Amino acid sequence: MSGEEILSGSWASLVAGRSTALAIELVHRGAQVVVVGGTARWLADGSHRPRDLDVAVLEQEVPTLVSALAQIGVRVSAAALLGCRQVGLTSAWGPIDIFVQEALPRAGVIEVGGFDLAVAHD
Amino acid sequence: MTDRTGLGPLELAVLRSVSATAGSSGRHCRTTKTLEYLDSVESIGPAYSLPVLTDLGSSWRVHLPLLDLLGNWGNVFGDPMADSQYTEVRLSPIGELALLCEGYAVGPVPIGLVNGSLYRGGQAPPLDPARALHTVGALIEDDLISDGDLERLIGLPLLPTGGTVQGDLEGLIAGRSSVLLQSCQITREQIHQRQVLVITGTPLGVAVNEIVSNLGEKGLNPLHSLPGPLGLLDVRDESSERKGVRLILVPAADADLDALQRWVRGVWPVTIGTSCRFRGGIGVVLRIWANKCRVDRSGLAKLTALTS
Repeated sequence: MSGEEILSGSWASLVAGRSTALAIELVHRGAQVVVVGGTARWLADGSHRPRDLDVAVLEQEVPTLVSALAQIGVRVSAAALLGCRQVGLTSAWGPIDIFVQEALPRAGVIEVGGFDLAVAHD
Repeated sequence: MTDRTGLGPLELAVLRSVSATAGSSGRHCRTTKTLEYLDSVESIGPAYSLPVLTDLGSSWRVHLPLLDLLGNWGNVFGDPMADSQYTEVRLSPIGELALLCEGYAVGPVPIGLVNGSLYRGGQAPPLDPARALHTVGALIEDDLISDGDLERLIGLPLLPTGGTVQGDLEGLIAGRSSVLLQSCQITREQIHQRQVLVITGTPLGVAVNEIVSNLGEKGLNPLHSLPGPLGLLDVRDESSERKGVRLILVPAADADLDALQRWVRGVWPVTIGTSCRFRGGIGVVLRIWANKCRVDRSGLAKLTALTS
């Protein structure tokens, strides 16, 4: 790899977008989640390069999230998510932290790649 | 971290215990004996000490292994290690040198500079051993070398797993906390009249099995794969202890290899982000080591001889 390639950051943006791609995958497969944390800030103003995906989910939506996760090869049980409330998992799109909540944070909708993502406001 | 070697107190306790249990015979000692010693004398239980033993003895964790491990201690592929009753350990020549240095029998040895602390979850990335030792030597001879020249001499961080690095290297060298993107070394080869992508190096701390699993999960499973002109037909794991990491990614005949390579880099953990920092900047770090070694160059000379 040349010095120019190293400094150009040619695939850095690809990596930064990985957590958003993961959110889209989950939403595409029926999950009802709100993107929070670093990815939410990145989607809002591009100010912070995320290293993982943080999502909030309502208790009653946990089964659909579990189903969506299973479809992308991530195995976790609804009982484990409901019992632990905060769970860190890994996927081919990178790590994902899931926060099971009784009420979701305030969120707006951002369209990414033809999909509507619910993204938390600060 | 000690001024003499740059090792942490836990690592030093492990080295002392291996030395105490394996003795000076040069023979390996059963790991359980060392673990018992660590627990009873140093009050460090096996749950804490065993990962340190593995780190310090694995060439896929550090450039300069301080221990010589015998038996199945796990590997870079992610296979589990055997129970400690079936493995053995002794100090490596560099481990012996580290203890001599800590006992003031030889001058400082910049093991911590070369190995960094990334392998133990710290922020200092590892450096090319030959370049690091040469740069410290050059600074001892001429402490007026500019920071710019030092950067050229030291080069980029070098991963013992053969992966590549990029990211905010300018910030890293200047001493800022920066996200270093570690990625797989990906080359192209002609196999059976077809160009394939070959992964031969990985990020530090990433199990090769996980890369294979996720490339397969994301790239080949028709239920999971993302849409797009990827054209990935097969992921073949030809890795072995002898040949090292070697993952063959077989593309379709009409696949765009550049696009496929970009896609592969996007798959986690082919590329991972890690917070890194040289406290004070790489120039300061190197000058501190040079100042220490200038007083007594014997340790640096011995380490250079052991690594060349």
